[in-house]
Amino acid sequence: MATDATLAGSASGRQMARRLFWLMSISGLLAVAFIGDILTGPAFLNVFDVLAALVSPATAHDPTTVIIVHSIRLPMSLMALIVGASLGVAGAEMQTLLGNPLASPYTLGFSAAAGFGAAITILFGFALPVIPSMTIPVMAFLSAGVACLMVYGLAHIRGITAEVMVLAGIATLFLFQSMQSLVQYLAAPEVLQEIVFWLFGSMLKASWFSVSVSGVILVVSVALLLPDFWKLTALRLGDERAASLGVNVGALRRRVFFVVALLTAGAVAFVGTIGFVGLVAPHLARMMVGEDQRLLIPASAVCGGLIMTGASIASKLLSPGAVVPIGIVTALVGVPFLFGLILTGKQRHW
Amino acid sequence: MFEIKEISVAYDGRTILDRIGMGLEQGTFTALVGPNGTGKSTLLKSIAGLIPARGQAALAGRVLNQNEKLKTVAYMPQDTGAQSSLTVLEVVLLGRLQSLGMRIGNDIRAQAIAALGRFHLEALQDRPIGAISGGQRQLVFLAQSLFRAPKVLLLDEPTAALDLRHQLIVLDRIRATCADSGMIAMAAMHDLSLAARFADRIVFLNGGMICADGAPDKVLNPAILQQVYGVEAEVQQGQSGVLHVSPVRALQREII
Repeated sequence: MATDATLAGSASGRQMARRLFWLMSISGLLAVAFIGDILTGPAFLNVFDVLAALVSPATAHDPTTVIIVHSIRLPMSLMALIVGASLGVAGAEMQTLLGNPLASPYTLGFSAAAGFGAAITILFGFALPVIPSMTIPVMAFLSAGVACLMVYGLAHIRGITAEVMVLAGIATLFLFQSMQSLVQYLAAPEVLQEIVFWLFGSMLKASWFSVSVSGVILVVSVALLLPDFWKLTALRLGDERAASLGVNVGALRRRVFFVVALLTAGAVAFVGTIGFVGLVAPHLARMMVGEDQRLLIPASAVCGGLIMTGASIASKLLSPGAVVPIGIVTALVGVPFLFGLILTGKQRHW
Repeated sequence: MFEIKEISVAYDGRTILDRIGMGLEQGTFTALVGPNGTGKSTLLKSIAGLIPARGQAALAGRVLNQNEKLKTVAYMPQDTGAQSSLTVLEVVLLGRLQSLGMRIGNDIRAQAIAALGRFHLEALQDRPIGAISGGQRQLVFLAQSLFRAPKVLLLDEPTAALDLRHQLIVLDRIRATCADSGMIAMAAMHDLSLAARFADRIVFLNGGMICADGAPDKVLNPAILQQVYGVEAEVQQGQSGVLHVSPVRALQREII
């Protein structure tokens, strides 16, 4: 029997240590980026005033700074982190479920459906009775739910396989995209502008309420995935091998599909559609920590959060005094990361 | 004794397997042979509980339910490649997926490395499964199956696409494990000479039914090969006493 010392010094022990080092390093980088995101903004506040307002709001001497930091910047930064983490986890699971490196949380049309829900709400201008300010997020969330049920219904009839889900998802994606385009075509210019702004994705829509809802959805979703970490890892060997190891592949796919739908809807309903993160964050994570889902899930969340936080900083620095919609700059921030890892990485992951 | 009773499988009204039954003695290795499309893989999967089938599987007289089958019976599919970047050690660890937690103890990790060691593959433990050769990959998946310590191991063409050396290593290890641990093994195979050399028993499957069953020297003869495969073949005993099958020519058959 090997002792702890021999295993710690073994190749597998060293590899695990290397992967944990990567995870801790990007987590540290995320923490730094998160602080940097709070420090930047169109109001050009003094860095030390912001830090004072953040650390000790009761004793900070500028109440305006305290209000800006706690009511605007902190929710925006937290929302960027949570949305990035949600899309990162959703993307990792979508790629695992479908066995496809091009899969993302948007592959199955959830985001297009959310966009359609938001667009018709803006077009008709109706409001929910008790929570009128939440009408657009609620409608976007419900619309994503309808897309989820459509894909699931088709897959349930034909079999919960990756191929059927991709086909049903792409059909759903095109359906909602065309309905979204129809709504845009019918909208008056000022309404169209509002719809397009929503579809760009922006952290300006963030609030403590949206942070709480999306945060709870992220935590609950990861908790729901926890018991299936090893089964999802086994799924990377293919359906038949996973089944031969005792995994009920259909049931697993069904469970994780609903978690991905929940994560995606929870992320896009409040801030609009944000592409690229869900596709690329899992690839970055995989290059650093491999495919063991115990590390891949947290690493995908951290990478997603890092891309979104970096994009949030860039969105505030690109046009001084204004905030560019974050959905426009996510790729600008993420592509250099990805290219760097592709060029320096030695292993092929797909 | 592992018994399968009245196993039947049908797809779209077409019978694939028709009331297959047999008993497999502890510590034995059985070769399941027959033409392509005759139901060998389907039989193995139905015994392992991976596809819906009528009939029962029983170990030591006790009928196994689905959960018991998953714990008792291991099934190793045909090698169809692996694009994953999971490491060789992670693949072996997945053999005990049902008992893995968030933290992997040193004991179980050491056992997985030892399972690789039986095939002299320890040095590959950190390599991605998609980056090793087909022969090495097959040995890794065999190590994974044996790491589960199953009472029954079902293998679907374990030597397909392997070179001569790897064919001998794989079958030798299966046979040795059967002898050492009492494991019952059954493998779908196409190479009848290898089956004759390593298996205690050969079961011929044709048209979803068993058409011959017995020790290699009892069932491997030109008449059965002609009946099952539609070929003229010679069966000779080599210097080591092992039977060797040489196909001579395919006989004309009515194509259905």
